[in-house]
Amino acid sequence: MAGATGVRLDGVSKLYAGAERTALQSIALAIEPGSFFSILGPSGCGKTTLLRIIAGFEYPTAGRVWIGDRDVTPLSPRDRDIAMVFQDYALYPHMTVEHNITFNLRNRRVPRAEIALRLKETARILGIEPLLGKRPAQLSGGERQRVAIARAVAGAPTVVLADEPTGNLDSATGAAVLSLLEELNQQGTTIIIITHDHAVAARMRRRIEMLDGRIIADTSPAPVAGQADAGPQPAQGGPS
Amino acid sequence: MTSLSATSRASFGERNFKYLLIGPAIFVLLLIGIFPLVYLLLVSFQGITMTETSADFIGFANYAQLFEDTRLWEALLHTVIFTVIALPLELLLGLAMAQLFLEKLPGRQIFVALLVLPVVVSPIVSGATWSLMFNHRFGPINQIIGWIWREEVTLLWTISPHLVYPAILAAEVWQWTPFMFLLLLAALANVDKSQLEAAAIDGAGWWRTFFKIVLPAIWPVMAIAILIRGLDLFRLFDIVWALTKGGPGTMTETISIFTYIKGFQQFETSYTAAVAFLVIILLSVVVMLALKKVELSR
Amino acid sequence: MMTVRQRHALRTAVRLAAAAAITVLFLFPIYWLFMISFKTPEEIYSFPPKWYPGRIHFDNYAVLFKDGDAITVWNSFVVAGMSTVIAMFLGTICAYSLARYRTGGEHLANWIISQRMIPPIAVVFPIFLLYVYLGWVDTFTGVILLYTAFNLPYVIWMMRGYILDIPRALEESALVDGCTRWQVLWKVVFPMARAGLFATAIFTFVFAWNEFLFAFLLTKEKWVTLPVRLGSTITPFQTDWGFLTAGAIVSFAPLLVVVFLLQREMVRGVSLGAVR
Repeated sequence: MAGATGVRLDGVSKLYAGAERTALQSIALAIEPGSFFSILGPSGCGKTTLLRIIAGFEYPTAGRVWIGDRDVTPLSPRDRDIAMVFQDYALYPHMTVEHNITFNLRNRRVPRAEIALRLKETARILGIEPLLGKRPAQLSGGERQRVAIARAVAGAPTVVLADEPTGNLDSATGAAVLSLLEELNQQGTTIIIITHDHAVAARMRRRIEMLDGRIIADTSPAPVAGQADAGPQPAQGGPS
Repeated sequence: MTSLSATSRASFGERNFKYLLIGPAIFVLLLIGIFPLVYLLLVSFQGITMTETSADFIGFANYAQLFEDTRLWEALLHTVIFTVIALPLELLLGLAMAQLFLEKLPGRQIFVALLVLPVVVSPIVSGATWSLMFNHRFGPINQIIGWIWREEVTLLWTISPHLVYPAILAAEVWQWTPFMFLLLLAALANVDKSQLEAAAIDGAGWWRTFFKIVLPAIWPVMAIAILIRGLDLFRLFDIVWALTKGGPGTMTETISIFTYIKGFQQFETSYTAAVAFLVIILLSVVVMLALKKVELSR
Repeated sequence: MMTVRQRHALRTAVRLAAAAAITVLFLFPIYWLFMISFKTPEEIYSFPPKWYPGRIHFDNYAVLFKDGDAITVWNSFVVAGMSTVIAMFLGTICAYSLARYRTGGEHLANWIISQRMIPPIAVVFPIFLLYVYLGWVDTFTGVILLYTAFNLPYVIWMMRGYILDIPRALEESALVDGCTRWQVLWKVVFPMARAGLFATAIFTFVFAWNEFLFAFLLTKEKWVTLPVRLGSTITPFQTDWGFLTAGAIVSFAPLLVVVFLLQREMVRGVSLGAVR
């Protein structure tokens, strides 16, 4: 579907005013296009901050962020061609499911016919057609999760960010969500998720571990498809 | 925690955005607000009274006089008493009512529309009505009490020292509880339902859910409602004037009534300005201390 | 034992009874107010107190409106309405800036609320002076600006509270969904704060409508508002209750219409406002 885009971080640091220690310490990271990527770590390690910087909700104190071949550091989230699945879903309560999903496309003035098409397709893939007329308050947790994903992918973004996508779900639904994301990835979308769950991270093709604002481990598969993981390598500043 | 803009690397448009948002409001406030304050400050250092109209500066004489004026401090005390009693009453009643109307109820719209009425009536009019209602012979309140007491009752609500405070408080609480009610209703509506559901599943009783989930969620609005209402109570005038004119004697004289009498009946212009400043300073200090102790934003 | 449905029905019945009781209690003084306006002076001062007049007569009302008085109702609408709309708009966007960007920090917010600490009586004269100097007495701009300025601190502080209640994630999501910051305000924040918006608007409007002191001083003929018109018919010697209450109700009635509309929107916001 969408052309695959990589994400690159160059010496990204983040220090909050008044905080005692740095949230992120000079992170250098290159995520290949079409990656199925996870960031693992305990709470407070900086993984959420990292994701938020990639998304554009926070500005790095130093360093730059590249999405594709563009330096997106000064850009607002709306100009970064990304989508985000929030930990708490962040569905607009005053809009129906359908409006939630098409909000993005309507804002960007996508022609109505195409919006209808995309809506149908996305709803079909995620199995939420019967929910379109409802409001978020009327949905179950699993349903909301699927709507949140539908909203993220309806616009065919090149990069999808997900904050703890399985966090509040039972294992069955969580597994289903991951499968969905895998499918998406197979179509070429770069997927970056945050998790504190090792089991979830194990399913991802590449994962980094963070602690105290640094990357402490980087597990990438060997270049040849089908081979086992090369195993955890201690990472000093970034892989390549 | 974090704000939507962060470091100096924020884009130009965004930095402008937040200032653009406050610009017009601040402009209007400055336009109307600066001059009176400056004026008051200047006048408070002058010696203008009913007889003396020269604009000479007499230094802190007015402020010195403040400290010795027992009537002033009594007025402050009365005002504080009113505030400290009425505020919790209005808050608790308003909260209870908001909770009552939160879930769907047949005719809820009508009820809410009716319950807003007391706050819509002008305070002057409501004061006048209550004074008629409290009338010792012709008022229905004594009549109703008489029915319960089984004999005729002629309580002097607006004159008897024991009754004036309850009378004023009744009128005041009646008028302003709907204010709290409406505000808190709007706030309760935004409480996260899924958190409540999770608490119910976890077996949390009503009180625990209320204190651990609901209260923290509505705290920003509630704190502000308390602040606003508290400040308004401190400026209490209309209802008291309509019911007792600050009497009997000066027993229910609030600081606003005191200011009015001193300024518009005795024409002590400069002294009144000093009093006004004292009030502003006192309130500012109290509010600042209160705000420091209370965490408003999350 | 009762089923869940029965328990729910019982709860609703109890709540209904409580609601009715509270409403009766709160409405009683207003009922009394209405009754007084229909009574004759003898009926007002009768013992035992009459709970309803012998005959509803509109004598008190009849005296109220002479030529040119109707315009004051219009003036009140315009003045209260416009100042409310302006104060709500300017105040809410300012509140957003304070809530999300912490603009000006504590100091700005505190200065704003300090405007409300000033006893109105104390500033009556300086404001009058200011207005004479600026030539704003009895002008459209003058009156509207005054009420806007009076209401801004209230609106700003109240809306700041309501905005703080909105999860930030929703606004961030809107940014990702292609909204500019202005669009985030219009398409997400305002709709979500709807209940709070209308609750605040109600009181802003009521205050502007009922305000007497400054309207009395700062208007002469072109922009006289209703409370001033009614108030000026009361002389220091007259305690004509029937007349006063009739006037109060006349002042009350248009206000009621507006408040009814506003609170309907607010309740609608309440039922919509389930987060997540």
